[in-house]
Amino acid sequence: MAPSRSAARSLIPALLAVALSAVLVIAILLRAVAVAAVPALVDAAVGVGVAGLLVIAGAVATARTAAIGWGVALLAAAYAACVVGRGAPVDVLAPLVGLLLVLVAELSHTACEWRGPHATDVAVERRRWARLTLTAAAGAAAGAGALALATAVPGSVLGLVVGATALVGLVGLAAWLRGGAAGPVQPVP
Amino acid sequence: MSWAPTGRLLAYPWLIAGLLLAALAAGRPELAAAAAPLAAVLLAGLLGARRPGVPEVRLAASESRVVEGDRLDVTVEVAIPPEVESLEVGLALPPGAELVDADNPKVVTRAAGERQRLSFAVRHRRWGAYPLGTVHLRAFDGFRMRRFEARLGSETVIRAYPRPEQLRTLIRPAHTHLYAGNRVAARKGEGVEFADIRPHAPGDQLRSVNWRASARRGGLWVNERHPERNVDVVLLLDTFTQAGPNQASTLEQMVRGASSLASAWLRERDRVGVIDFGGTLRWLEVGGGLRHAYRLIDALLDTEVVFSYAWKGIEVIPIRLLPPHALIVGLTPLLDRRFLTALLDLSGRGLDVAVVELPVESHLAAPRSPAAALARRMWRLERETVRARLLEAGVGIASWAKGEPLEPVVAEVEAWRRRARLRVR
Repeated sequence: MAPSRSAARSLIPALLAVALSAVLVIAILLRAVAVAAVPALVDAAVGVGVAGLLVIAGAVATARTAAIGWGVALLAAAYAACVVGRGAPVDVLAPLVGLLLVLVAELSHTACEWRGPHATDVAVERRRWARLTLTAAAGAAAGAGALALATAVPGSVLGLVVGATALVGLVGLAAWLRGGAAGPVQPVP
Repeated sequence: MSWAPTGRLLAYPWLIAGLLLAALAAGRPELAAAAAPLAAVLLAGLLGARRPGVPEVRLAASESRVVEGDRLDVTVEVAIPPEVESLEVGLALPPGAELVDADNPKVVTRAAGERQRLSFAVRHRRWGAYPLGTVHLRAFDGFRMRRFEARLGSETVIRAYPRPEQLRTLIRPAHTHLYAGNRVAARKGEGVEFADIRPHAPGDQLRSVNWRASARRGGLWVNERHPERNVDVVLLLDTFTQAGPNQASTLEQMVRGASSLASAWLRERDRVGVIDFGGTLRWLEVGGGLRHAYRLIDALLDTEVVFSYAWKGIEVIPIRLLPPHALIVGLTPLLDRRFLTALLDLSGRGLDVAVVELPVESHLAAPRSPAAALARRMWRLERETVRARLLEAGVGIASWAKGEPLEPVVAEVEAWRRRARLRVR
């Protein structure tokens, strides 16, 4: 079936995704180099970040949606290594990094979808992006609040319990989604 | 509608879990804070949308019968469920059918109306009976976390008829039938074509008097005329075997030729029947008129080769399928001896038989060795012998190469038959 969108149009989200990934990697590099407590971790962070950037670029170039998750995971891992490598000071821009990760993932998925046989309405797509950005921004705000709370009350047992519970729930959800509850994915006509 | 997670829904929980694990392991709350936007999108996607019901869909075609290659409009009327904002509607067509200048899938939104109609232009490349197609519906939740899909089919069948060839010449049967038609009969009677003059007899109409001849010869002489009659034609299809790939086989060519011949004869108000003589015997008795034309071409579309080892002669053909004085036109690749024997038997019983041969050599690979080349030569000689046997038995035969027009082939058969008639006289 002929794709309803031209390949040229799918370039916009693809380039944006790669550009945001690059911004994220550069930000990680700058923040880590400035205050490096464990230089080896900082080097690893930059290496993993660049790998994430390449995976994202490859995923959008070849329209492989399965690789997007790995690319974003590598970027997140790079940030985690950077945070650990920086040492003591709390990174207050962490929720913004989360927001960037969401945008990179969504833009990459959109680029892949627009290259395939998906048809979308412009108005619907615009509403989706507005909804998505608002939700992610609200999440970032909540994350900033939680971060401030965690900084004010360090070593909270409640935070540990909530985090562990959420972790177990997420792993359960991921396993359920993988385990066939969703049924087979139908091929596109 | 059935649902499936998209790549986002499969990836987000692992990403968040990874960040949370890192946060807990390293004791860095920033990593949990970085996971918060991802978690917010995941939660909103999971809780934000309900699973939609199967939408009401109506699938219709502008025509149920088309000529191959002609455009057909397929309309999909769909009611968009309230749970989704937009719906992708795709039409999956059977092999042999293709879309003409249309986006597929198309998208419909609730904003444009709850019930919408979409049109797809479809073309069938080759003759045959095709299912109309299957409608694929796909929708996403507001965050594209879940994909909802449904497939809805239709029982409507589209019949794509072979495009008939233009035939100005037809094989002229030796005998005409009693019913009125467009062919000048050999016998004399009421008609338009002048035949002869004879002396007047009581009961002759005054208008048939030939006054010039009467003045010259003395006494009254009247004109005799040839009446216009129709003929019975039986198309005998060799369905014992075929050569070539399905889309370009001798069977495909045979159906195309039979359809052209039948249409041409039926246009001339003749009566046409068809017999599939092969592994199974199928037939349609001779008949005329528009309804019979549709029935006949529908029957031709179902023609198929059924392999069988059983020996079959013309005794298995019900006698009523071969009306007296009917012209029998065999279409055959001359590959099966049973069909050849049947043709010779029919001719031997005094029936008027003609054959359109469908050559198979173009379907064969070039011989790669001297032995294969020799075998090919022998095979060619054998086929030449078969043709000679048919001609000797009074059966006109001409070869119709694939891609060539049928008209010269029919003309060649007719010319041979005319020469043969002159020789007999």
